[in-house]
Amino acid sequence: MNRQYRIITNNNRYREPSWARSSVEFVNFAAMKVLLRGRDLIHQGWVLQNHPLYGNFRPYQQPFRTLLLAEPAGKGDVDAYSLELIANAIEVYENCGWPHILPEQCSEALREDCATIDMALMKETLRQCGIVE
Amino acid sequence: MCKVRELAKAKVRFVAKRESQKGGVTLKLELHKVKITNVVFGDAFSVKNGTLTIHKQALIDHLMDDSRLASVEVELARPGESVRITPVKDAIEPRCKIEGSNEVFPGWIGDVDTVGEGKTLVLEGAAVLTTGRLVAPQEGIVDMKGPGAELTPFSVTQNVVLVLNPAEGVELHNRESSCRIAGLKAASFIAQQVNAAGFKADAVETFESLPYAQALAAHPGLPKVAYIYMLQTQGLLHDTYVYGVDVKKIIPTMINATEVMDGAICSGNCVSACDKNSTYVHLNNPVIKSLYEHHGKDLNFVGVIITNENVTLADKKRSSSYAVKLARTLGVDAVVISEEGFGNPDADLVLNCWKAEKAGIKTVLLTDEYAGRDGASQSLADTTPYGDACVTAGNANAAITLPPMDKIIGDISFVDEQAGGFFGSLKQDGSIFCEIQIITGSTCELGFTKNGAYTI
Repeated sequence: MNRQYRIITNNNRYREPSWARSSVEFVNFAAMKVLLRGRDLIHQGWVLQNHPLYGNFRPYQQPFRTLLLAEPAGKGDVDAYSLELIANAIEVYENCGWPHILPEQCSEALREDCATIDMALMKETLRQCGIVE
Repeated sequence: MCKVRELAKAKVRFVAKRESQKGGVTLKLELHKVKITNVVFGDAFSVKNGTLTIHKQALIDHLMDDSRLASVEVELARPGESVRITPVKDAIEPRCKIEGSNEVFPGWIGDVDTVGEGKTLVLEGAAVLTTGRLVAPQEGIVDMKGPGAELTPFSVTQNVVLVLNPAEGVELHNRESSCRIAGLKAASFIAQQVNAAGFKADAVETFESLPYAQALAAHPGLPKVAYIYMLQTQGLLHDTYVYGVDVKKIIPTMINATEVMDGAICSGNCVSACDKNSTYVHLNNPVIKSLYEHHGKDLNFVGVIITNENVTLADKKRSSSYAVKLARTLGVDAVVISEEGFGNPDADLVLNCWKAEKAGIKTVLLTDEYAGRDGASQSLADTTPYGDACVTAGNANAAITLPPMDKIIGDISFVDEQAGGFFGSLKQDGSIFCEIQIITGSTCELGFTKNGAYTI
């Protein structure tokens, strides 16, 4: 049986028609809220497929964040590694020392570039999970 | 016809020599280093008394055969000049093969065949830097003078700077590719032209890679040490290539140190300037250099394992387990592990560390820190109690004010959006208040940096 996945994101690129068949849950505004929603799902047994932190971007440098989670298997026991990663990531966001940048605070060029990079960095994970080719 | 016969004879001699070595082949690479102390434009490529002459138009013509580029400008930046270069994408040392099969940067300039033996020309002290806007949040700054110059290794190189303007309508992946390849083309072309014009090496350094059976048996009594060389492989603008292959697609593997010196590893990583490994740094990997220096004295440097830093958690698990398995297969006593970048790659560093330690292999970690402006926050995004031998390249969040420079090569208008900058970084007088993350190579996790460290 194919495993079901859910994308959690604040990146509006995932509203484009090509994503209509994917399970995408939008969180408005802040990237931190994506992590918090991810944490809630992890507590319900969902399993992280990508690391919740970017490489090379601090929370105040990237307004977007996207997570891919796999549906709970069986009883929905909490995946300890997912929980550890999301908790550490939230701590990084909370203690980064600068206000988190929001999409609407960016210039259009910065917002579009960050949205593109967010999608590009998710590509391999989405491909491995069979969501994109 | 004569030349064909000579080439055939040389090939037979080369093969015969290899077959006569019982137990495998020792790979030997000679780096013929020409010391460059100045760079100028002129009518022909040459090196004389340390001065590298660049034929500007010939270089531009060579690069402009890529239709993805609208234009290329070439500028020079020398140590001590009041020059700021930004956004710097990659730095590449001019090198080319003098003797031996293939050419440097295999898979891009050279054929995909193996490199790492023969003779290679190195224009030591020169660097090709590439600039040009790909995306807004993109590195980096090199100042040739002032406090910023104290934090980048490229303030002391004689720089040939390419200002690359992608053609209209070229998609971002292709724009990135064209700029990356332009740097490799320029660096190899400059060295090839100097080779053709004739040169006299100031120094020849020889490096050998023994067959593993011999390497492991050599120097009994000394601890066997391997190097786990982590490479950034997250996606567009965050990638690294080995023999032209995207390293996110590989499982960890062995590579000879001399292959690295011939450009087998090329950087496609240009977001966080301070701790990305430019192609120049891969070519001159100081961890490899240091391990060779200690080899046979207080350790037996047996080999290099390259591994990736992928976004997907399954890949992180697979690669860390496999890299440690390779180390176990070699039977090493210890590994040096260098990270590239920060954030989720901290998880790869930690996985590599505790898996090696649990397998009875001691570890030393090389990383940098994001400990906040005051240095008081946790330095890495992940930790392990096994990581008790760690070398830091510095705190990338440390703040600095860069004074205005007389000349800007590139485009300064995006400084506020570069990683390490923030809204208001660029002041009206041209000075920049930022974090050192924005400075190319300031906290290089291979130690190719002007910062030092002491043991505590």
